[in-house]
Amino acid sequence: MNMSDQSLTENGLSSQTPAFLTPGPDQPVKVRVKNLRFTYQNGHEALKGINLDLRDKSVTAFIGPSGCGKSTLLRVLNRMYDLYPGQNVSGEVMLDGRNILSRTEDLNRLRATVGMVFQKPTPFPMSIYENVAFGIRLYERLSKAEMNVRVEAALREAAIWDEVKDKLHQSGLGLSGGQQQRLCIARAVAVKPEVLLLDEPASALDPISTAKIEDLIGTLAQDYCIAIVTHNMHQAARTSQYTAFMYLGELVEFDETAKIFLSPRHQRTNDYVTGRFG
Amino acid sequence: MSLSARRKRTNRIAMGLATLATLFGLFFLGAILWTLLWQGLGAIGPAIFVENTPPPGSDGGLANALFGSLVMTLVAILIAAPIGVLAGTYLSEYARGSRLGEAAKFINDVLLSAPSIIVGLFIYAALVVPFGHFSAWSGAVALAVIALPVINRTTQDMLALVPNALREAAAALGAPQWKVMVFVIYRAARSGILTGILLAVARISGETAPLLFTALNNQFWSTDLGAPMANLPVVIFQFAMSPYDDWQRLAWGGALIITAAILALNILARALAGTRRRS
Amino acid sequence: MTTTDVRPSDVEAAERPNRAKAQDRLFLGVTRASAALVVLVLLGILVSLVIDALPAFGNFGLAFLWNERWSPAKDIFGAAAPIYGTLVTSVIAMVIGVPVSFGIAIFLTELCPPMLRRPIGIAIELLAGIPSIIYGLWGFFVLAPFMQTTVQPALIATLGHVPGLSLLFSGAPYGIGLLTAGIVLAIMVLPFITSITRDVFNTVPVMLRESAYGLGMTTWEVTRHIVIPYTRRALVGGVMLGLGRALGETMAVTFVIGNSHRIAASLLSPATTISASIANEFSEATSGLYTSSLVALGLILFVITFTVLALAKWMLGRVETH
Repeated sequence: MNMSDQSLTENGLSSQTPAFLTPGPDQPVKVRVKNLRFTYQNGHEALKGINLDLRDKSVTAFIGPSGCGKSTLLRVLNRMYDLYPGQNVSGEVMLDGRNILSRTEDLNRLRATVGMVFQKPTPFPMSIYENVAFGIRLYERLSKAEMNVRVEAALREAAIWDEVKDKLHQSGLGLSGGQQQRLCIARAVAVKPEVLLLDEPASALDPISTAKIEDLIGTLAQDYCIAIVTHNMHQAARTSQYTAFMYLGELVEFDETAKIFLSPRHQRTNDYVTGRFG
Repeated sequence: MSLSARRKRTNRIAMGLATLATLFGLFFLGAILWTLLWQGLGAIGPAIFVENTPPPGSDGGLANALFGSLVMTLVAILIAAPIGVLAGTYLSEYARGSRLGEAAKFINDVLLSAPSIIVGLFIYAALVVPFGHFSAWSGAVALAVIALPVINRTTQDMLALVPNALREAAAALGAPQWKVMVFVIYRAARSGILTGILLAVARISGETAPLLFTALNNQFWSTDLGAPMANLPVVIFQFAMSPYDDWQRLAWGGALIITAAILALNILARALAGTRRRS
Repeated sequence: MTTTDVRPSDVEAAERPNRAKAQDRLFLGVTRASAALVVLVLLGILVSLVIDALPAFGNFGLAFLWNERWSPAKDIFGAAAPIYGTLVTSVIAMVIGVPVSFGIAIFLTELCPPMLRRPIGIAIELLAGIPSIIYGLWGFFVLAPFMQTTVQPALIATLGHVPGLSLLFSGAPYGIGLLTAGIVLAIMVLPFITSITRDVFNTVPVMLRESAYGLGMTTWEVTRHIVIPYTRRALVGGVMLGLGRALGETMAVTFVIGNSHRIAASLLSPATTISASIANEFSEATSGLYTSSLVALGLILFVITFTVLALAKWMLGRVETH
């Protein structure tokens, strides 16, 4: 990774400036994180007072060295941490003005609203069709015809329809890694979420599949509020309008992606995005 | 003799002994199978599958005992499989790290190799005495008690193999926990759990001791689960210990049938486990 | 796509969290009850054995444990002979079975040509699945006659005259008895201990094994100084697991033990074990005290095997978590 990051700087970032995405005009804040602290069962404080806003119909990238808390932050946003005992969270996460950290929050519904795609593809052990239909059935009762429409729409949205339309009833496990990951994205968007969390969605994939996923993220950003965690600086630069740089559980710098990569305010951010450490 | 030569000689002796041990072990195990085939094949014909256990001195078969064994094994698995899978689910998914859960796992592992005759005594006291008579039901329950820890343990092991990411992915769609388990995780562990159930069937279909004073025996064809029922292992035991040649012949025939069935089940279970590993 | 189109109606959505929570609670409750049932089975076994054994212990006191006399006709019972038989047959099984199992395991992990490793390994595991009644049958019809006509006369003629050993190998060659039962048990636990031992040997890191060979050690020295010390605890656990099996084994023993409630010094004499006594006599026991005494034997067996198996599990468990 260091190598590629160096090439990023040495080939002249400035010459590629137009490649940066610019934020759409005045997108509303979708998720507001206020003074968020998170402690694991072993007492390790992974998030030390995070404040930031995720805007709708935009991609926010989270970068930083391993263990900086970026994945932890993502897993707070759909309260995935609730699956495990002994983890402690404080602060506020407002989703459309509602604090999702409240004890009365319905987690199942929250997770249907805030979808997630994981580092490794996680197709369920069922057919491609069923993989997508599974989530829809959790919340809606549809006729067979309606369901077919929804499944097709989701698969199209994830840009995998053409590849699987002839084998919808074969196992999802038979697909390639990149296809599996797009199937997982289809599965996530099928339940019509409002926010999408992508936890290093391409790190286990080959370069061609990665490119497809990145293209897809760009398309999806027109409809969703997207948060993506990535180790790949190119990916953050290519896919996001906003970038947050985290280090040791703190948010060091958060700004429009172009600014983070071209004129960071902090030395540490500069060092990281130019590949000098991390 | 030089040190190096002595070391080499020691090595040769030790390795010779290890090879000898293997030959010795394989010889005895081979001898058992050989006797079983030799004696058993002579007894097996169509009659053994269609005629009931005879009185001494006349011809007959093992039809009622085969039927009884099948019925009791089936009932036992129908009881033990759901309970075992659910118990394994709790111990693997919900009781991780809890003290009570660890204790229950420990107890289950001990039950896994507890003497089966003790289970027979327990079921005798718990079912036979209160109802006042021996019955196929009590035999089936005794077998279920033996199958339960096997299924429980394999379920635990197989669920532990399902990657956590799959649980998170299903939860991330907003599925309630029970749907995550039933529709996603059980599916992922399906062939493994099935392997465990098959192994449990193999284990109980040869069990004799727990049936001696629960299901007892019955020289006639019986479909009444509330009455004593013939079963292969007990018939083999009684016929083998008898002084009658034709009874002993039938015992060998029954022994061959049981062993063949169990080996087949084991091989099937292995094949199933194999497909899981490959996918 | 917008987020305002088809969504479940608000009413439905409001009901959903409660229903999902109730279902989750139900599922948790059912699984927990199933797990509790396993524990209850163990407690049930213990309680039922204790209750039914009380008359015997009430009548004979703790002396039941060391009293040898077993006389159903006079309603006098003592557990010494079955306990003795259980221990002696298990010891014989271990003395024969453990070295042979270790030998096979060493052969399989260190010597066996890779081509044969899988077939032999699978064969051993399949044999572990054969029910014990088959071993008993074979012991009764094949081994016992052979012991009677060949092995036992030879033992009496040779070891029977060695001072110190003569007691163990005296008397008439019956064929059945402690030694035969021990040998059948040994053959029965062989595949069992072998497959555990092989698995345990395979837990030794390849690096460790290779660095030992790298020092110029012979196969035996690697086994003796690296593999066995590294896995000692689990090996003992595996042996204990085999011992637990042998102690509680019923059918393999019942055929060939001879069912005699007498403690004789000779290994060639008929004897009985706890499980064989129960299997042979339980359905014929007429008096309440007779039945109770047999259950008391069962309780003793349960306590012994539980202890051995718990120790085995403890020793194996420690290694697994390493």
